[in-house]
Amino acid sequence: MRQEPLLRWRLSRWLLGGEWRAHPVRALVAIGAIALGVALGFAIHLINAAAFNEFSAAVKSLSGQSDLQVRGAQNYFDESVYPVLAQQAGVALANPVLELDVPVPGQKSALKILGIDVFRAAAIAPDLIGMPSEDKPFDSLADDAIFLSPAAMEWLKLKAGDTLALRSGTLRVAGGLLRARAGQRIAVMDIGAAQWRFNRLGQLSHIDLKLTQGVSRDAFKKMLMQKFGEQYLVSETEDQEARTANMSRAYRVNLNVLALVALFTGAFLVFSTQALSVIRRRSQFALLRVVGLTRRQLLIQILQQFLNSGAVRCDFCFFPCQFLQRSRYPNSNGHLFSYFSVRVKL
Amino acid sequence: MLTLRHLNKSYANGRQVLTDLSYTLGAGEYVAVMGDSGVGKSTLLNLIAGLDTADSGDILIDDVSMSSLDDDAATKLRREKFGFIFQAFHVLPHLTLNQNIALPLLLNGAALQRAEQMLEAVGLRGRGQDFPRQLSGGEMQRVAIARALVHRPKLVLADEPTGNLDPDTAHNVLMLLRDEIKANGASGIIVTHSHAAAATADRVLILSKDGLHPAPPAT
Repeated sequence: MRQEPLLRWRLSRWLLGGEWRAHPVRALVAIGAIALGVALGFAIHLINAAAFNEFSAAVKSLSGQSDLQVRGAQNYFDESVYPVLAQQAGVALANPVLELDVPVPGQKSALKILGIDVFRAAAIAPDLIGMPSEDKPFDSLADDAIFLSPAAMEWLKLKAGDTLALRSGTLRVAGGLLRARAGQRIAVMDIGAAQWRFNRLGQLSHIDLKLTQGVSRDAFKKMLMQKFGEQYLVSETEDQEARTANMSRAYRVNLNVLALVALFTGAFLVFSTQALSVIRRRSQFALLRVVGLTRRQLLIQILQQFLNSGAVRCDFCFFPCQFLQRSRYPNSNGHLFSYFSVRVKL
Repeated sequence: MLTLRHLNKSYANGRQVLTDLSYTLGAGEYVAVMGDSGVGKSTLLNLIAGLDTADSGDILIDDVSMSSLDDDAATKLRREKFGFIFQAFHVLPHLTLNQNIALPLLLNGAALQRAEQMLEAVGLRGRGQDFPRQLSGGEMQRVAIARALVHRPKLVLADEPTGNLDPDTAHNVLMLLRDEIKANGASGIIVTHSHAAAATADRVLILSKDGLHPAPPAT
């Protein structure tokens, strides 16, 4: 009985090796066809996962490491609530943000500008901090300075030192952002300057809260909701991720269905190729039965050959996929989304 | 070695091919079975090999009843004790000659070196790495003979082994088959239409509707 695996392996090697040696083109075509089916499914799976990650990461880069976010029932609310929240027991840090979609002359879509308090944002959303040039270290606070993400710079064809012309006036591009997601078109400036420049004096879009260690998010959220009533919406970062997931659900369902179609196609190709192969070799299998292969051994033999060729086929499609992803986009961390140039706008 | 007891076999269409057939084949005996087409010669071989089942009666191999064996046990018996030679050779086309001959050794878990010896014994020395497509019909049947005898079976069943060969090649193959069966101490049953082929056996039997009977002496 101990010899059986060795026997199976050796016989499988003989039979499969002989078959492949005799019909290399047929084997390659079969491998290629099945690899295509599997690769389709795998590629869609990768894109799907990358898309969700990208959406999620984009949301996180804006809200940073906050525990809660307070928004108004309207787009903007009065900033008088900020000191109330900042002094609330249990709040370690409150980060006020003014978020604006500003039309850009000559462009169809608007530029998202975030007005931030650089000292507060540094602790909660460090990705959003602008990088001023060495000779102008206080540009982060300047009322005429704006920092653009690389994607925004590319989109507007601007670089540090250029002037960004908006309908409300001109701003000096003081530099880029510390970190920005690939394809994310955003601009950051001082919150006071943003309020003044864009006629939003005394207004905020949201306040991100970092709670003191040990404070229950749920309890604090409940308390805030009771305190502010329906005037304000209090949400957790997880809620935002769930919202992101909901936003991209239709898109991901579409991709999943496509992946299923690809998988079914692949499975059908695998099945038909193997079925044809078995039918073609029926006389050989009959001979093997006559010379002493039991039904079970023959079935195992066929399955083993199927698995062996399947493994080669999978290697044939998975390794190039992985190689392509890792060699061309070593820093993408699996974000094929950027490769496909899909811009995520939040 | 082999005992047939009151074998009956009919086809699915109801045609009776073997009726109350009984026979005993001794160890080391080599017999030829002749008969008209459709009389059931190949069916008889299939029954003996356990590839088909009789309607009634029994087949004993070394006193073991085939009817008492399940499929796995019958296959194991076939693997260890039987060697097969077919009219159409049935050599696996994508395996080398060595691999083809070594198949029964591999299945029996025996050392594969004997395949080389058998290749040499059937006159194909040094061609172990060749493929069947590089062989003539006679050479392919030699490979089939080597494969049938390589694991030292007790009974060799040959179904029209020279049906596809020219007379000269057929004679050489038949003599080789006989010599190798004798050299290996096996018993053999050769089913054939050819009197020349039958003449190489120790005894010739005629299969008819009445059963299996010795052929009348040649005049």
